[in-house]
Amino acid sequence: MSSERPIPAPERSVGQTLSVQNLRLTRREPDGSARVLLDVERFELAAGGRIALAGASGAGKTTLLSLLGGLERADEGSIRWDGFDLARAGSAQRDRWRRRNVGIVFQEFRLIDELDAVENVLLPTRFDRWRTSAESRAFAHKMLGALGVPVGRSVDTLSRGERQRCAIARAVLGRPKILIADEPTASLDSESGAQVGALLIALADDLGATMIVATHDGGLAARMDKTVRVQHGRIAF
Amino acid sequence: MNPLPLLRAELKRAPRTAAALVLLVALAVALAVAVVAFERGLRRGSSDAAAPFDLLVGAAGSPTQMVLTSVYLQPAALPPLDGAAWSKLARRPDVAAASPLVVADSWHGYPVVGTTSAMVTRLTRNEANVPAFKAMDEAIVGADVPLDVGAAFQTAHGADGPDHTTLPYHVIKRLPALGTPYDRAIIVPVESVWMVHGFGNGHSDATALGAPWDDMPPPVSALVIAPRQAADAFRLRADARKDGMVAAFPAEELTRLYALLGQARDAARDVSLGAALLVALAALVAAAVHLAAASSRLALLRALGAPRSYVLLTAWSLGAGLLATGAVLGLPLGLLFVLAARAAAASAWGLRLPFEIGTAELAVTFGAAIAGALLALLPAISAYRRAP
Repeated sequence: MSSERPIPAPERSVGQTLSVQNLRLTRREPDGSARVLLDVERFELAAGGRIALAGASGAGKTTLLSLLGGLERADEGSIRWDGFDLARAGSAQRDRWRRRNVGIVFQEFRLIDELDAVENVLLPTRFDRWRTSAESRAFAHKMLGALGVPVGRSVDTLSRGERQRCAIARAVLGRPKILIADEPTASLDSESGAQVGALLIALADDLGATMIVATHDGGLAARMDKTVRVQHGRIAF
Repeated sequence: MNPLPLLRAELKRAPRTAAALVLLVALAVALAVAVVAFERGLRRGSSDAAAPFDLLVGAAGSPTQMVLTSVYLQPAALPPLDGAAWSKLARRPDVAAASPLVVADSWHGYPVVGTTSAMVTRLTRNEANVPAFKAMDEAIVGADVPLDVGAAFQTAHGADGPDHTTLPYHVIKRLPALGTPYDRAIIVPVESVWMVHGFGNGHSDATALGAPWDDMPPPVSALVIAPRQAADAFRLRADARKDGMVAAFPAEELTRLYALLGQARDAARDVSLGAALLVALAALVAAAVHLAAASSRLALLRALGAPRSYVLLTAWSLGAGLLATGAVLGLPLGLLFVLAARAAAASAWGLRLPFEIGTAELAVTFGAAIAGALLALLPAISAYRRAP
């Protein structure tokens, strides 16, 4: 990626405030007992804030991200993003809210190999429209160009760093107010990881998005406002 | 919502599976289309071939065999119908026309039929300018017989027996294609066949040809009777039966054969239905395997905010698209099967079956497409229910 290429400034959005209270998620075990996966008494994040979730594998970071992104619903408690309570919203409401407010970056990129980079970036625009707007397409091209991702090539021919940058472009296409990343640098070498980390933060800045990152990457965590540890489903500040 | 990019991606991901599924469905539909179209074509073709034969009378025996030999020229020895008996029938006032038919000889596998030029005219439905036989050694050949006008040939006894004493025939006319087994026939004066087999010529005049014949003419394989009126036909048949002869309306015999054909069609339909069910099962298994492989992709869609309805639409479009494509391709493929069966029928029986797309074939095709679209709902609903 060339550092001289300017990243196109997304339309500035305003991040959302997060307020979590008495969050609890349990799973029924085969023997009938209930296992607590997450138990978070109180957790708040200001609009536009950035937080890193650290902790051992299996501690509950990804589960917490799933709840905060509305992918799963908590059994108890509330997750309020600017007053919208995800814990009380139905599946369709959470889908709609997520589509409008959240950009997600995954550890393993999760691109669709048979589509080219532009089509991957534009994929979320297909969910509610037949045609992609010229503006979105132009933005995708610009963004990929700025991130140094070859457009028009099948993504399975891209390097891992390019693939993750493509996934990031997909996450920010809808100008999300919330950016969630699950180990975004874990699959990359240190150089690519540093570039991707810097890119995420730059984009979150440009968007004004609230950012939550689960990471083992100390360098990335150090650039966030705060790092919280997740241990056995509980948060330790 | 636009599932097309994802559908393209899924097809690129597993093109061989998709192609195999389409082919399987196409073959199942083609089989069903072919059964329906071929059976209908066989009915029409055989019915058309029997049209010139109002009433057939023969010696005691199987009426079905008489029809098969006389109308469809299937090689089988019919018991000879006594000359006095058929002559008496032929002279009745309620008979508009009576043509003796002798099927006994062949030339290189092409059946030689002894009859009258009037019968040849009836075989052509009065559409061809058929010359009257003027000499014993004249022959009129069907469209598929490889003999040109003027060509000379000698017949063999039976279907492929050794030559016996024969007349050196020559061709005076090639008939246009009739689409009946008579396209493969060599038609000669019935008197010449009698002569060859040592029965005389059925006339007191040694050179006479055609009706009227003597009171005691030689025997024939069958007599084709055109009654004056429809009621006469039933009376003629009843009288012939009373006199110990076999009399049959070919159309009626065909109805019996169609009943058998219907059973064969039902069996073929059951086979094609079974094949369709197997294909449906294969499609469901393929869909389940495909969905299992695509589960992370579906989860990705949900994670990116896709509503469940988008996942449903994508999964359904993929399954329904493949199954419907297979069903629609099954129609031309089935018609190709029919063309092949038609060629086989023409070669084996000389029947030219009509070739057309009927509502039944369209119903099979679009019924399969609709069934495929409904079937595709099962995996699509399974995908729909999946949590992100």
